[in-house]
Amino acid sequence: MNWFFLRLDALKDSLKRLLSRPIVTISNIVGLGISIAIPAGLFLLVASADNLSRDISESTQMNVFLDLGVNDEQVNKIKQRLSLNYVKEVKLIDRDDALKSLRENNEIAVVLDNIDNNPLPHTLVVTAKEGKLVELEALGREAKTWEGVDQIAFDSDWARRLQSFIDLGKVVALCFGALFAVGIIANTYNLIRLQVLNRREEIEVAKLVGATNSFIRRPFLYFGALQGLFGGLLAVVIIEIGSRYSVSTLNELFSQAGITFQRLTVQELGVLIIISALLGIIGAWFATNRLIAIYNK
Amino acid sequence: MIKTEKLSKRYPGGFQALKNISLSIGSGEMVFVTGHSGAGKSTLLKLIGGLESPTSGTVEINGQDITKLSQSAIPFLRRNFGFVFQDLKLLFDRSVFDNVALPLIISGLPRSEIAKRVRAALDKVGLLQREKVNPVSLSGGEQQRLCIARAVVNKPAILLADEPTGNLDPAYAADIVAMFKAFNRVGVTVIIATHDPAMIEGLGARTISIEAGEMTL
Ligand SMILES: Nc1ncnc2c1ncn2[C@@H]1O[C@H](COP(=O)(O)OP(=O)(O)OP(=O)(O)O)[C@@H](O)[C@H]1O
Ligand SMILES: [Mg+2]
Repeated sequence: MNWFFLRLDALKDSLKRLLSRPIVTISNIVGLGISIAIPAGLFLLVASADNLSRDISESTQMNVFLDLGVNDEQVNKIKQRLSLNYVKEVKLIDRDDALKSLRENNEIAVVLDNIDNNPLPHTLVVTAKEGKLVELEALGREAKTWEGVDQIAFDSDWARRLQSFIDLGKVVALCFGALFAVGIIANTYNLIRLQVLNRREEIEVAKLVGATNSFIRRPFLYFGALQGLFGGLLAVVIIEIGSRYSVSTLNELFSQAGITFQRLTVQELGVLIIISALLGIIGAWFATNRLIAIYNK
Repeated sequence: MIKTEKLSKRYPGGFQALKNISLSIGSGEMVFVTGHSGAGKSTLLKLIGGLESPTSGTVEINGQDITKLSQSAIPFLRRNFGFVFQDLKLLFDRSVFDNVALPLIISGLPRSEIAKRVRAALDKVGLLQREKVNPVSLSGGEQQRLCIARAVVNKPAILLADEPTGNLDPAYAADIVAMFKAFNRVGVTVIIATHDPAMIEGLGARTISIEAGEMTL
């Protein structure tokens, strides 16, 4: 019973203090919400790109670019040589078709208008059966020496490059997250330190009549937790609203590239709120740690 | 039963406030501690109540040496005492009621029980009608009685009162002494520090006098 009442009192006390200065409280919570939403949103973007690049790096496709001067017979011959038993499909993209589809893109069309001859080669898109990437790469090396073959390009090549960019992005997002986390802790620390100083007299008297350190500390910890909780909730709202409006637009924009942007799952949103509350508690813990010991008389 | 053995206190800064105090106070006794200003009366009360720790010597309460208690046990020790502070230590950010309720809230009592006990304590000191006001609006004597109400609200076995009559006029002071006498009659051990000899007269209570930190009998 005691256990419950002690905590209920502390909770009421913290709530009362949050509500007693609404402007300060609101601006703190908004700051918290934004500080959490920014790295979380950043991470979401990076994670979306990450999924794409994983898909590609597992893709078993290569493009075989032929010499400009090859004739249809040569093309067919190369196509046949490529059609090994582990190859699922060899598709020809005719250089005339390639140019036509390029011309449909207005911006590039301007450039192309100034060119008389089609600069594009025939391309053979070779898709291997699943898991046959090693064989496909070997085939690519061999095909490069064939007559009529100009260049070989693997999707997995640029996927690897993309991946290293994404890894960098992840590190940046993590650094942002860590930085904002430290910022949140420092902010809560300052705020609660001030509160402890303001309530110095009360703390002293409470200790004189038998308050334990945890009794003194509890309302401050709850204050930090509540503030963090509300900040986390606001961050969730920001992220949800942000992704509701931007995910479909982004998906349209990047549909060609095959990127689908995700939304955070309910669990991830929950974790975000918990982390936010924890950061508040950590700030409050540091703020109360030394001061309460000092008032220990 | 309270027993001190060669109790000494040197404050940080080097001032020797108490020297070799050995005394014994029985359960249910009423004792006065007298001496000039600066003699060490407050210091003695604080050592007995666990509000300060001695430089050397022991304080036994019911056979337990409280100077050996760990930091974390001190709060629970303090809950066994009622302390009337010389400087009152009232909180002016809350009502009379909430000042008295503080020790009970700290003990984690349910709200309804707290309200009952707070009103009983306020009734004993004659402040029941003032429970909603801020202590700022109380007179000096009323503030003194508020401090007494807070000291007795958790029904302590030992009451330590440091100059509870402060600068009150004699009639008022007599009132307050009578109040302590009443607590003592129901079995509470009462220790009162005072520099006012008039307060002690005619009570027949034991007096411990201190001079420059030493007991003079
Ligand atoms: N926290 C402290 N730090 C340093 N010295 C102190 C402290 N508290 C008290 N003293 C000194 O110890 C001596 C005894 O103080 P104490 O308060 O016990 O006296 P007292 O008998 O209660 O006096 P009074 O009748 O004026 O209240 C005084 O000289 C005082 O200056
Ligand atoms: Mg004194």
